[in-house]
Amino acid sequence: MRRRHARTGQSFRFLRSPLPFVGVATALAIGTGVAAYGDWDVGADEAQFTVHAASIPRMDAPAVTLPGGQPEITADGIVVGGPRIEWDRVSIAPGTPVQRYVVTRHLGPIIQVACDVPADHRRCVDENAPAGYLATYTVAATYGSFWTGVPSPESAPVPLPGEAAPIVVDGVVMVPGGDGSTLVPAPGVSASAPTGIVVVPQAGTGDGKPAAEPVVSASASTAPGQVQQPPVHKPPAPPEESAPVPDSGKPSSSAPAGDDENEGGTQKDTPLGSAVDAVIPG
Amino acid sequence: MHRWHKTVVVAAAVVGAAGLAVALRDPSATDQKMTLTAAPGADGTNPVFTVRGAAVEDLYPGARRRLVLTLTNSSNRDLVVTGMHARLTATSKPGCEPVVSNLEVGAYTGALPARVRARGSREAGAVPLHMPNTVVDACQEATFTVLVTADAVAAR
Repeated sequence: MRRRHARTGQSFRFLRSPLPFVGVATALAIGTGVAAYGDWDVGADEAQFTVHAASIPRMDAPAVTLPGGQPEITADGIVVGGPRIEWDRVSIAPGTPVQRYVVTRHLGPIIQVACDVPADHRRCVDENAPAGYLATYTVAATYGSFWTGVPSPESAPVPLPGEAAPIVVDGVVMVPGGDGSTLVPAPGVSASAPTGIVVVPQAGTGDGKPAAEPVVSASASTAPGQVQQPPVHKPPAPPEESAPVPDSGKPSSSAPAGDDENEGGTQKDTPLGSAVDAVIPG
Repeated sequence: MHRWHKTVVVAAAVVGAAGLAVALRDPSATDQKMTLTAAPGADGTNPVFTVRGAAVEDLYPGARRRLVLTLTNSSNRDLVVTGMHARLTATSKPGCEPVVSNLEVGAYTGALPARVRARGSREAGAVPLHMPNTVVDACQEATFTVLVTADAVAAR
């Protein structure tokens, strides 16, 4: 009993000090402060940012030159070593060239692919140009599986040497107009009976790929004058940025010249934009 | 000294210790998770923080870019950003749908939580972007809209 009283006395002895009451006051103050912060809301709405895709620049009209010397015409009416088409290379972004160039031959309303070459080329030869016609050419750059640039303006007209014969292009029988510059459907001529008619094939790719089959149609169902779109070429998918570019190569002063002497083409850069801001109000 | 005195003292000690522990812990851990409302706080302030994104241009098939985010806290209290989310919501061109086959928006890559000092600013990670080779031709020159949502709490 005496021991218990003694312990009780020791237990309450510290209450004579103000320290416990200071502790209580401190705890209350801290608790009140935390509660105050807990009541402070912060707004966080959605913020919109915009990011921009590049585009393949439209190329300038290509330059077209005819082979020098005496022109040679095949029995099929094709100009041997046909027109040489040259262009300036372009980039899709700074330091990133496009991957391929597609050159299109225009014979009046008839459009055909003349060349499809990798990006390290800046010229090609139309191996299927029909003799005696007036042709123009456009060039468009491509990138990846689906991106194609707007075709360039047409080149200056090129009078292809030789004597013109009726031709079949994409199933349409054509003959040169009176001045050789206008193509008109040949009346009463059927592509299914092509005696004496030249069949103009589509071009193959200029990088060793086999040429496409001629596009003459077994029937003359295509309406005369109908414009045929060039075939869709699907080059290999572009590499990821961390991987080397196997097909195009990046044109630079030290890059290999490809198959021609025209190295160091002009590069066009996509302009940079400014930063974008989004404000999240509270 | 009565028995209730003893009880009060013990309770005060427990509360005091708890309060002290709360006060001394990492502030980011003690911050309250705030609701995503724009209502002013109890102190009458209307905190604002700004998310700035560096410009992203020249996306093309195969390209990888980062939408780098910078947080600016214009209020007079520290903020702790606890979450950051981004998703693709729209594009500017018909035929170019806001889908992953045209643009992949990755998960935020910055360290969280990110404390932004009062009246301060800091770079706070990025949102990775990847334009896959499946992107359609219609997406050339398109503008993609990426929606970013941030979760933030007030800090001491």
